[in-house]
Amino acid sequence: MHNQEPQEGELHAELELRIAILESTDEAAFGKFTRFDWVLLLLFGVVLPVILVVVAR
Amino acid sequence: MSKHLEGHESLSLFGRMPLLLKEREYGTLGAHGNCFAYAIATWAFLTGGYAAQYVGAVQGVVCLVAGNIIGVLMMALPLSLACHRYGLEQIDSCKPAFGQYGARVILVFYLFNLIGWSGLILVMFGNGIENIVLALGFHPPAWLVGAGVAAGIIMTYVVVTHGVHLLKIFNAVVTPILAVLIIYMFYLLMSHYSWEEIASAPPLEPLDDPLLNYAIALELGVASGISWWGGIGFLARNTRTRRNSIFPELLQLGLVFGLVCSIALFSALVIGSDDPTQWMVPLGGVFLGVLALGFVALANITSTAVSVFASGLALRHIHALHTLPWRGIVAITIIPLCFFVVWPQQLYDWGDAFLAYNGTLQAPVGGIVMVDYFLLRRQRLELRAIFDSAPSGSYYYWKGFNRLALACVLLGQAAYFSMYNPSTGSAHWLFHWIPASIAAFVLPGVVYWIGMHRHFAGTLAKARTEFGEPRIVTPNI
Repeated sequence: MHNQEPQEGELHAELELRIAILESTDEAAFGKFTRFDWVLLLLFGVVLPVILVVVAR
Repeated sequence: MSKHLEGHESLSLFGRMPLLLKEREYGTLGAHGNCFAYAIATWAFLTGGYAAQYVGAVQGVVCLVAGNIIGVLMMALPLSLACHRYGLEQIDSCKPAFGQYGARVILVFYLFNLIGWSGLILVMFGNGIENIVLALGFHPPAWLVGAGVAAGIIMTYVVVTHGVHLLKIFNAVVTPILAVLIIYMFYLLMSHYSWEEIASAPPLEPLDDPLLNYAIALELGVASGISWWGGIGFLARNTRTRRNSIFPELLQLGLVFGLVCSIALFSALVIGSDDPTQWMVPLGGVFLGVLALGFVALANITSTAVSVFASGLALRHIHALHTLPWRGIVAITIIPLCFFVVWPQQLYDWGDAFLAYNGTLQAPVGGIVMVDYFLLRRQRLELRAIFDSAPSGSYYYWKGFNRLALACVLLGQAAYFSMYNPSTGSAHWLFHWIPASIAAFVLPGVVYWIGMHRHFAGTLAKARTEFGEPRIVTPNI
């Protein structure tokens, strides 16, 4: 934890720096998220639960 | 990282500064562990017990598991991916939809939700301690629950002030024991009652209309999933990969939570009690029973810690608190929780109404954010605009408010109450087919999508191809 409260100017500079880093970071660094992931997500998050709900009705 | 940045790490870990990848704590195991520890708390047993009033075991499992998974996905998809990709605190991720100051309206409800939840969980922790004392054959004094809440507040304060890393370590210890305990509970139940007995047990207090019973149980499942809204952004922000930002939430908050609710559903149906603190001791013996009760009680602290951490980060939106030391922020967050020390049971009794109201608000917010992030922004946010309060900023709208988004929240709430009123139990015929939470999610989303296309089509098209100001004009960090 910081011991000293940063000045507003410092904060703004820090914010700009962080934004610049995040914007310039290669998408690959955030990990893959392929079509297969989307299919998996929709299958287990929507399709199968909805089928179960309808069948158990 | 430069020395300059290293000195300000605490402003991201304990503040709203976008969190850089190397500052994030959760890998795959950490993300699953923390989501699990967040998910498992006493409320899982209460939810299962509530479902048992309306439906039997098979329908109940479907409603709790499937409903919960659907609810989690509805809320987690946009929030997780946005908070992960941009390292954003959750309320900041709502600014593209609600506007710079409009997001603060959501902030009020967000804080109310998280702090209210934390208080309720701490009372469950206090009740857990009381049940342990009872299980050991003593008569607990009247002040014990309040004292338990106070102890819970102190434990939460210690965990949260030491940051996400300690939370991760704490959860790394609690999670495996809790997982074994849950499996043991299930084993204990199944070894005393056959599946046939459980499956054939009738619901406890069903209404005359079986379809309405099923609809209420399904609504309970979906609303439970939606109620994770408060912690979703916080968990995802601390993950290192996209997959870890969403799949652990879906699996742990969705599937595992639904399964744990089902244990309480079964026990309520065959034993007549959803509270494991009442049936673990008779079925498992005093030693194992008390051990189980202790860890179920402790699980409430991990859940509270996540909520309090997220509340603290959200408090950073208040200008005067932008640079206040983290310990001070956490202290402010837990002040309202002290009321639960004095009036634990009275405040706990308001819990049902509180949760019902929350459900009507979270679903529309989720629907609007979903449409905004995926359909309107195409998963591309302008980070500078999120931290820029200047009227020229892309997310400023009208005096800082996106009136359309805020009106859509009200529309969603109205849709919810027209479908189903949890206080009176009155239900529209449509509620038999569509859960009120889903209607309150979809309708505002659609209206918001149409309205934004009508009024901001040019701005949205421009935002997809180019960024606005090269520098932040009026920073709000």
